[in-house]
Amino acid sequence: MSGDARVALAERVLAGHGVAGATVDAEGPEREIAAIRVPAEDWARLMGPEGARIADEVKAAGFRYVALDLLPAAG
Amino acid sequence: MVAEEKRERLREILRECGSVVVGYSGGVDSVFLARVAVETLGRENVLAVTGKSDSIASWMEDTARDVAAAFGIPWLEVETREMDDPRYAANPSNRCYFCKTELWGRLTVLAAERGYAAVLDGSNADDVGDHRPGAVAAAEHAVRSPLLEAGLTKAEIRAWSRDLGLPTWDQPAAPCLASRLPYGLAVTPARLRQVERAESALRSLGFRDFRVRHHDTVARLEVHPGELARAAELRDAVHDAVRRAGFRRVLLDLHGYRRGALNEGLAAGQLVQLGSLA
Repeated sequence: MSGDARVALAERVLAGHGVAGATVDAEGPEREIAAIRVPAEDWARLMGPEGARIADEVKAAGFRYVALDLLPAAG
Repeated sequence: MVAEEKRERLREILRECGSVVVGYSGGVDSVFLARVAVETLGRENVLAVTGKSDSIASWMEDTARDVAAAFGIPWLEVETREMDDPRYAANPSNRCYFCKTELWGRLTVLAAERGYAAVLDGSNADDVGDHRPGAVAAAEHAVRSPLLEAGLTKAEIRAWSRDLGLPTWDQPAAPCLASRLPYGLAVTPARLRQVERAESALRSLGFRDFRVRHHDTVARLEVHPGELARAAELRDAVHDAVRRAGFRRVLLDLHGYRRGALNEGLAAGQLVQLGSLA
């Protein structure tokens, strides 16, 4: 699966969970990380068990790691 | 609570050894082993040796020195040169083998020169099943693992350490700094310094159980799941602190810290598990 397809799939997963305005890009030397940027108001729900479950689904799109950019997206 | 049979088994193993050089990193296990060895064999029969290199965090070196001084553990520091080995620097999945070959090679020579009968490491019963290519080097140098042989788990070692008054009893696990670099990303002194600087800054912010994973220009932070919310609250401070260590982008892993996360990309054939060695 190409990097672009993984990114699009990851963004659909996030949208499906109601994380509006999330963007994803592939980071790392092997593009192994799904780097997610979300508006600051969505951070709280991603910081617990729900976030880990969503991350599992994003990971299944073909990433090794799923991580949140500490610079939030514009809300 | 540690069963008396396990305590006595550990002392028996140490008495069998007679006189020992302990590979002493300043971590929970090696500090504990050195302390019990001194108690069992006497100071004159124990030498705790710390390998000093760029891959060891300076706070670990400080801990090793301070605890040795406070608890009467004879201590020596030797410089190890694993960074000079291109097989190590290339950071293959068996990187630890080359590092431990250097360490155990130095310590076995030192033990022979000074008349110590055995060289010991701090592997314990919970390490069985982990990816441990360094254990191959230990076996090749006839290094013994008394904590593992006695069946002591990490929890038991922490409990006994607390009984002994060791300040390391609740210290988080602290493998070498190279363990923060994904396999295949070259280990360089500059990258190790970046990791150390970023982790030191996070420690100053109050985080205890975490890793800064170095993905070239990107830092991926793994913090204990219980501290994720706090990391989010302090995101600006965390971001700035890690960026100052020289990373272009700072990411917070949504699964949090877990032991051996960088082994998650390894195929089964690349794993060298302690307990499965011939």
